[in-house]
Amino acid sequence: MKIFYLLKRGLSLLFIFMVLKVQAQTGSISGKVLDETGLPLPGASVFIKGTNKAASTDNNGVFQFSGIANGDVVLEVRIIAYKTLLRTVKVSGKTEVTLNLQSDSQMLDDVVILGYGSQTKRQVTGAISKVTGEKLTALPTPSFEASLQGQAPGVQVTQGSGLAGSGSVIRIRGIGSISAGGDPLYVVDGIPITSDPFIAGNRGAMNQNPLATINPNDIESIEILKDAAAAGIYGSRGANGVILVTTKRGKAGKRPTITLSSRYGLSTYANRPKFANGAEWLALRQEAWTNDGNTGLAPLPGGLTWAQARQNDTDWWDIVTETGKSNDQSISYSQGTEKVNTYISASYGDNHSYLKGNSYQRYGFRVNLDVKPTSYFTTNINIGYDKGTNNRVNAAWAGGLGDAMSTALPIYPVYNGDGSFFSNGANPSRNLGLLDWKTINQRLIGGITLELKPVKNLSLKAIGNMDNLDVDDNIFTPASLRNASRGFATAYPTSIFNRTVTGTATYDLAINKDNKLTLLAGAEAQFSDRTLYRNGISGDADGPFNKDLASYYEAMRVGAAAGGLNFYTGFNKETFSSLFARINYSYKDKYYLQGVVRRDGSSKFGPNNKYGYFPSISGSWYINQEDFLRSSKVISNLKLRASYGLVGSSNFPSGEYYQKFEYSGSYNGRPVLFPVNAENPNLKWEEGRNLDVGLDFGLFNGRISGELGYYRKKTTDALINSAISPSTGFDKGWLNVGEILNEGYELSLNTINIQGKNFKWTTRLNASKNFNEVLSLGGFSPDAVGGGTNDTRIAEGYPIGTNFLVRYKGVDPNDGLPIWLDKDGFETKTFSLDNRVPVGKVLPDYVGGLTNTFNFKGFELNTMFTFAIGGNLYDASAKRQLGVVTDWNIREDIADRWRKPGDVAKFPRLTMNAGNYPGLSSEWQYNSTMFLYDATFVRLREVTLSYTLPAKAVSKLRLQSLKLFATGMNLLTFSKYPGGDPEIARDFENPQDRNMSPNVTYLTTPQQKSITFGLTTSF
Amino acid sequence: MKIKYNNIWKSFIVLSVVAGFGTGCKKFLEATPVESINKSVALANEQGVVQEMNGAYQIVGGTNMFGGKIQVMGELLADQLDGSQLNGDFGEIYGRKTSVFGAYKNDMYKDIYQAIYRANIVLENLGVTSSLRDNLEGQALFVRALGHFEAVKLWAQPYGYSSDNSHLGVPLRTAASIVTQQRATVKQVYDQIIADLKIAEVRLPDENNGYATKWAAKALLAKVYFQMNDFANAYLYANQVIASNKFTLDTYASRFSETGCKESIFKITNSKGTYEPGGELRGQFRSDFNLPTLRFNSAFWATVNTATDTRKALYETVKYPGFVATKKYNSDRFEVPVLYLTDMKLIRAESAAETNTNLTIAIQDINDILSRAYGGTKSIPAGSSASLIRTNARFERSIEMAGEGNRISEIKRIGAKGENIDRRGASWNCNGLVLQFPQGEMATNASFVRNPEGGCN
Repeated sequence: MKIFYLLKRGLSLLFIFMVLKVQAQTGSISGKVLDETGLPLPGASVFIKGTNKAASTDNNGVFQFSGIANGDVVLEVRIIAYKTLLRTVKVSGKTEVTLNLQSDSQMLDDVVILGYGSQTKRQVTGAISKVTGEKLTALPTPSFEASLQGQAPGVQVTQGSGLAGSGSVIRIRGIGSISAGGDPLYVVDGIPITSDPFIAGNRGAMNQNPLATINPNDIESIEILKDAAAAGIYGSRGANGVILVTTKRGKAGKRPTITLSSRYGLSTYANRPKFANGAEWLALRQEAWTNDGNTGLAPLPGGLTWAQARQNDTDWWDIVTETGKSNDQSISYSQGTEKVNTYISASYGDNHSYLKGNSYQRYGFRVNLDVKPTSYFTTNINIGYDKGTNNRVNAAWAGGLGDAMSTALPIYPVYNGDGSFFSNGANPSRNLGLLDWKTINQRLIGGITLELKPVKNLSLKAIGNMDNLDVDDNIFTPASLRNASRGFATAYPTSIFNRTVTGTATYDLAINKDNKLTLLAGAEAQFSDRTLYRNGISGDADGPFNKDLASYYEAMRVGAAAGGLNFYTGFNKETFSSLFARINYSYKDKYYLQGVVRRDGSSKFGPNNKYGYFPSISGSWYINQEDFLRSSKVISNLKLRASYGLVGSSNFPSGEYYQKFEYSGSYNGRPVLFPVNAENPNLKWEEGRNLDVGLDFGLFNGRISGELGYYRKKTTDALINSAISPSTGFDKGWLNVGEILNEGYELSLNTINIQGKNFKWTTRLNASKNFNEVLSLGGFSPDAVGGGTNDTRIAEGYPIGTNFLVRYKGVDPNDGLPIWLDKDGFETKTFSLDNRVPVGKVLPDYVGGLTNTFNFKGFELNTMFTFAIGGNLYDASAKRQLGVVTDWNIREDIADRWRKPGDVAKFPRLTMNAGNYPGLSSEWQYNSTMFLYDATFVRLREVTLSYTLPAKAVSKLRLQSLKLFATGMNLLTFSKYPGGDPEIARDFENPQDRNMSPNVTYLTTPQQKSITFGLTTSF
Repeated sequence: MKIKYNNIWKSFIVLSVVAGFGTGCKKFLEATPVESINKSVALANEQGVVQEMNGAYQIVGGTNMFGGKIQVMGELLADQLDGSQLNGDFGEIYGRKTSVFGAYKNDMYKDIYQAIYRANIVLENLGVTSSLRDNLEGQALFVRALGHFEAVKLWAQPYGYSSDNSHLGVPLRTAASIVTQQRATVKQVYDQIIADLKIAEVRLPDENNGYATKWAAKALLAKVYFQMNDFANAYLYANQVIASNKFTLDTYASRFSETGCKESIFKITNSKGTYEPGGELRGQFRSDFNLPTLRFNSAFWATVNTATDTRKALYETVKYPGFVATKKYNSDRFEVPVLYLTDMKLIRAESAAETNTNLTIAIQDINDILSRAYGGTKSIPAGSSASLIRTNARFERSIEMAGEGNRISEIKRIGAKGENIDRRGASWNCNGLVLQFPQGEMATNASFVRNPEGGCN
């Protein structure tokens, strides 16, 4: 028995020895990653330093490596919101480790993407705000950039209207442009992409938003570069800030995972103006008629008799709106091994806004692939394809809901007695189902990066990127809608090509333990142009041109025969060629210094200013690392940073420095060539001198953390495209004349208010104050820039977008006529445009967001309020809705008006003739402070209640994770403005209008209010 | 996976060189948008100048000029429309109290000068032209004169407002320049118009494929002199045009038709699918589908609504009870006559009457018009007095050219002779009958003198 026993032991031992022998060559590590409280951390990345080996933890926090040579290895564990852990592990056969991570609310080890590279948050010397992907997908906004509202200090987001696919106006640290675009530069995975909202014009009172095709589910993070240190690397295009979009990639060591996300939503308008109904409208009309000294019944618009009008009480708003529905589905697959990381996604979204017939449908596919065959060579490939189909409706001035707010009167019927559509006045229901208008955007963004590390610490990258955007706008008006024998179709096929080629070299030099240098040098060339038919293609047709091809070809033949087809390849061609360098120096992880310089040349710049140099310098100091603070129990992090540098902005069209002639249209069947502009060989970028000082702090071991920032941006050579006498035949020409100051403060504060075992309450607040002033306009008067649809002006000593209006004092109780203030502040009862003075501004003083998150077990309640405080809102439609009684709808707040002598009222006596208010020439010129409102608003932007199933339950379902959620957007809005939505980004005519007229409303479609339900799961 | 590192090295180097080369290469940065042609290339030869000239017509026939706004503006200021429900820009113009703003008016002003600018570009680049040199010079001068004529009629008090016409007119643009300019006097403007047309008259050919001819220049001269109440010269030029026998009286239906009118001396041509003028006329006046914005008043309708006047058929009075709308513009597309024979005959007749010469010819002119208008039921006797001729000429003109923007010129022209004919009871020289200049003029030139404002009644 014993022998047998011994033999058995011996054999076992032998077997073990044999196994050990094998393991002596290839040992293994299995481990567990836990948080401070001992709970497992799923999704952490574990690397073995110096090798390609990587793993990620499962739901139980477990990871495993095999085939590792025995001996010491260094494990690196990374997960967001925890301090990166480096642990030396002695591998000897089968080794087990437990790794405890320290939470890091400062996230100093978090990776921050920069232009042409990345740093840890610790190393950053510039002003960069990072917004993670899940914050962008939380809200069903029309386009991802709208979801940035309230997420980052210094970033003002004014969401566009409730129209499907509409864009937002984003301003980073104020605005330093007048006529040139004030939008930030958007860079997706390294390529500056096409984001111009005017790419397809302003048809139907909507600016087509090219960003709406981008699938928010694909976005890993967005970095917003705000100061010269961060944005300086983008040289002549960084002055308005840069928005870096990074898409998701497979993570090394991550086992194959499929993630599904599904959401459904319902929407309606956030708020609306209220109008008089039919009977009320008639009474108001009659009152005006009688006030004007007439007798009998007032004449009615639309050719209606009083008897006819009294029969109607049409609710046009109701007719053109419905409950919106949205449906978003996305699926992604990601995986990572030592050599290949993959992220593949597909998404589908169909968002029907609350306007009948208006929707945005999107398909998206993405493949991001990283191949790392050896330790010294890597290839990254990104391909993203998106197709967005926008079913358009007219809005604002073009009709639809705009009509319902203006000239579609409640006394108008939908149908005539004979069943035909009423057409003697506005009738927006006629368009429903008849106007066929589709804008299809297809976008292909592709990039390849080849990275070679020929020697240690040196990385060479060659990057090629392309961004192809295809915009196909097809409008068809059937015969019955256009009062003609045949229908009419128009197509605007446009392709935008955009390419960059970049080469960079990065070298890390550790001079000694304390002194480290990183050097980056690079060169880049960018080229972009468009292929299009300048005037579109239009002609008689029986259906939209993409369906009625015979008519399409006929229209092209006719156009070509007249020499008026004007097809171009190379339209709007522009090139940039750049050299750039960055040097980072650090001493003892305590002091950081960075220098950046970029030289940009562009085909847009005039021959006298072909190249611009944009240097910046910045530094940071971790005060808490100094001996006197090191032992502080209160201060866990204290970082002072500062930067100063030059950045430029060149958001203006190409070909403006020489006198250019262009073909457009034809006359008498022959081509037409005409002069377009006035030449300016000195034309160049706008230049910003930016100072940034910031203090990052963390108190009580990160329970309280945040950032305080101050900036001062002085823009010189701001472009104006105006100020040419109209009797030249032009009214525009590009001149570098303006000087603009933006100065402001930013605060972000994150606090963990309660942290229990099951319950956690955190608060994030960010707020920024911006002061904007036009220091100089080269001597031009306020009316030199402005006019058109924007009722604001640029005046020296006042902010961009100054409300330049006649001051309204009130109503004279004796006669009910308006009392104005003249230029000098004296009362007058005669209106005069000469009495306009700067009285308001469209820019708010403060913007920000307050987010509270409550976690209880798997439940999370997230609420976000966004706010804008100060500034004014000008209601350009109110002068027709609350002024002289014409053929417009009248808002309910007209109730507070003068009716008889002695009345003290807000609005003067009604009249049907503008001239009855002395000096007023027309309703359109009734621009006064009567319609200027305080723009302050607070909005409950988001309420999300979600439940994440516990790991055990999920495992039983054979899933990795499952989260259910319900989100409400814009459920509450608090504002003093009675006319509808206080947050306004109307349709704009051009970039100048976009800079000067946010917060000027003109029949603008209100934003949506929505409720969304959904789930995300992975397995 | 097997990867050839050599190839990768090579592609890397190639790409780096491309990036680096791009940086150094000047050509790369001189890329210009293909649609934007440098002036020296655009106007290198005659073809370029011809296309530039065509561009001037594109504006002249466009919405902001004879595509409709000139006619609409004229009607709004005059006394034949029912303005009781007009508002916005139309209400302001109809109310004869225009201000420095108002896009309808200001866009029109800018485009009139854009047409002049394009004409000036042609004139400054005649050096590269060859066989068409005279023709192009004539056309450009014609367009420049037409532009200044329309501008000075609307933005200044009429010729004859001051005894020496030293009152302010409009900026006179005789060079393609973008510097600001002060207003010239009305005399200077008219002198320039006449000078331009007198050269154009000589340079232009008899026929010109739809573009201005010598007859167009002469017809415009007749109109200009007539507007100046210079009846001898008005007669002279109107008579030359009529005597050419190139133009014959045509039906009312043909005047705004796709097939064109035999009366047209200068017209905006219609090219189906590529250039369809008159959109603004259709937009404001067309009455076959719905009640148009611009309607006529009952006083005017009373002048047409007589037993035998065939022109009644040109008005819609049934479909929209209580409203009078014109049917002149009720078709999808048509040519827009700018200068035509009826106008010339009425100018010749009235000028003859005013100078009391050639009355027989004038009587015949009047009777030609009457015969067509009243279906042969009405005429004036041989030997009619100058005064009867004049009365008839003015009366028929007010109906013949209704809705075409002519009436305001008559109110001012006849007013300058000392006779107030405005049926709305305003004085011909009241402030509001002159349009206000766009604010852009004052904003770019502090010393620009704007018109005095104020209503007319």
